[in-house]
Amino acid sequence: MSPVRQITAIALLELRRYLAARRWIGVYLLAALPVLLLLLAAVRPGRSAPMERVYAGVFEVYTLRFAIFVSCGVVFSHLIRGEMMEKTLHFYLLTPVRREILMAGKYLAALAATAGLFGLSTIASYFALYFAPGPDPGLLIRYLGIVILACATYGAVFTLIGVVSRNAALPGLILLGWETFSSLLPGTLQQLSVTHYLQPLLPLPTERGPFAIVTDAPSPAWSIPGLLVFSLLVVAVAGWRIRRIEIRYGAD
Amino acid sequence: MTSPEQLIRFDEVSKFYGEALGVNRVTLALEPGITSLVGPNGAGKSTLMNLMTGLLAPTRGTIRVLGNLTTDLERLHEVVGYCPQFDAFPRGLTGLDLIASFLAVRGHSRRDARDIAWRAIEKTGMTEAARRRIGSYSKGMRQRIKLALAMAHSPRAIVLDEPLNGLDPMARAEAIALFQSFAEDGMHVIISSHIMHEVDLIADRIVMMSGGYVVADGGIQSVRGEMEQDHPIRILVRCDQPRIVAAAAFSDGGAIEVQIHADGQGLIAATRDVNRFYALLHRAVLDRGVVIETVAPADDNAHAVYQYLMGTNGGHQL
Repeated sequence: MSPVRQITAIALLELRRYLAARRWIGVYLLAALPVLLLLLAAVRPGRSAPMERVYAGVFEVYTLRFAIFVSCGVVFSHLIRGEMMEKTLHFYLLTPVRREILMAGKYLAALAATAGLFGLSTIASYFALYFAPGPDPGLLIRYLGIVILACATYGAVFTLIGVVSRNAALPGLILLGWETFSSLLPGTLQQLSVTHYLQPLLPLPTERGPFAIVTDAPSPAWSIPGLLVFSLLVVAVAGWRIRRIEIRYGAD
Repeated sequence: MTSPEQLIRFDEVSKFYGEALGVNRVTLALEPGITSLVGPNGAGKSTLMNLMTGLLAPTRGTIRVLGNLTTDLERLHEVVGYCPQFDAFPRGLTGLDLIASFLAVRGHSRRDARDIAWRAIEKTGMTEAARRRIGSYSKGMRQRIKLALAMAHSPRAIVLDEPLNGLDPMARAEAIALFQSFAEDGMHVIISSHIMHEVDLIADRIVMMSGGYVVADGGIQSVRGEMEQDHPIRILVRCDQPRIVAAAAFSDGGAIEVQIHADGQGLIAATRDVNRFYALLHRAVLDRGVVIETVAPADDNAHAVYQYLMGTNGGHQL
């Protein structure tokens, strides 16, 4: 049996379930909010900052550091743990599919869902720039690339958290704190945050504050493949971990 | 003799949930046909089923299903179908979508998956509801769609945890006929049920469990036969001269207890030597002209065996 075919079948089934589920309404709202904010900013009379700068601020501070992070936490940590809680994981575990392949299919579906949603949000909010003069279409491509990378990386981390932890909320909060305040840490520790690799990719990075410790930013040629390889490894570890999962719904 | 590739074998299998015992030192060799797991709640029936379908890993021992170790999950799930007790379903799917989607996960093309799914749905009588969302299904419909999912990929062994729960009498009869047709095709059908008279009707053999241990296994008659010393077999005889039969039963029929029916048209005799009692009945007919209407074992069934072994009917539906 072709693994690609199986991954595709799992991903299609998962995407169907995403569309049918109501629990993601909060994620939809998180994705919709920047569109509203930027439209309001664009039409507001007496705007002083250039629109690209407003967009860059909203994207980095809200979309990247908060909305995508939280949404990935909600969606990806649910991939295995959520199914255990809903008592539906056995449907997959009773099929002759390697559990690593199951993990890959579920991860790719979640990545398509979150990156698709925040990609749409990014595109829609970017149109707000057209209310202001001189938008650069090349910027949109960069922002979309960052959305995909952020969803892939945070998604991988939360996938693993959802496999090893019964409750993703506490590790998620710790991780949010780490990602938010890592710029205050020495350079070596900063390298252990995802933000450290994403921030230099931003077309117009925001100021990091007076207490930030400035370090050398990794080049895109290093950070982009680095983040992708890291994501792949983390998902592989999650896939390896679920080989040992047993169905004991009562215990979860 | 049945080859190992046709058996479901448990070798010294134990499963502990931390300190709690699931099943302990289970050794079994199940042949094709209908096997019924019987026992009170917490006896270990579902644990045994989850072990043989790979949803649980044994703490000790090994399990082979049709030659496949249950640790080899991909091979195992090619040959096994499981209809568990869990009553949750992925949200937003219709019955047809559910089965077709998981057949696609198994590697079938989209079109094949829908065709195969439809055939399974037809077999379980769910065609009318197949295109409705599962969320709107009754308990009986959910049971039937689970059954359809378990059998859709044509497994060689099908494991069914309380499959008759929630089914109306007609659907029960159809489900039982389906299980019997599986067994006639040489499949393993492993069923847990609380409904003892249905166990009697359908099971070729029983595995009786209590407190995580297998306390008896085999054909119902053979298990009952092994209990003859502690629990003499009770035989119902409907005849025109029960007093003559009763006297003979005590004198040379090996009976240790006889109760004559209130209507004077029959008796129940308890004996540890069934063959001797039947020989006596022959003589009563030939020598004394007794007209016998019915002879039947009164406690040669799963319910009686269960009661004798457990000392209770466990509150089961009988």
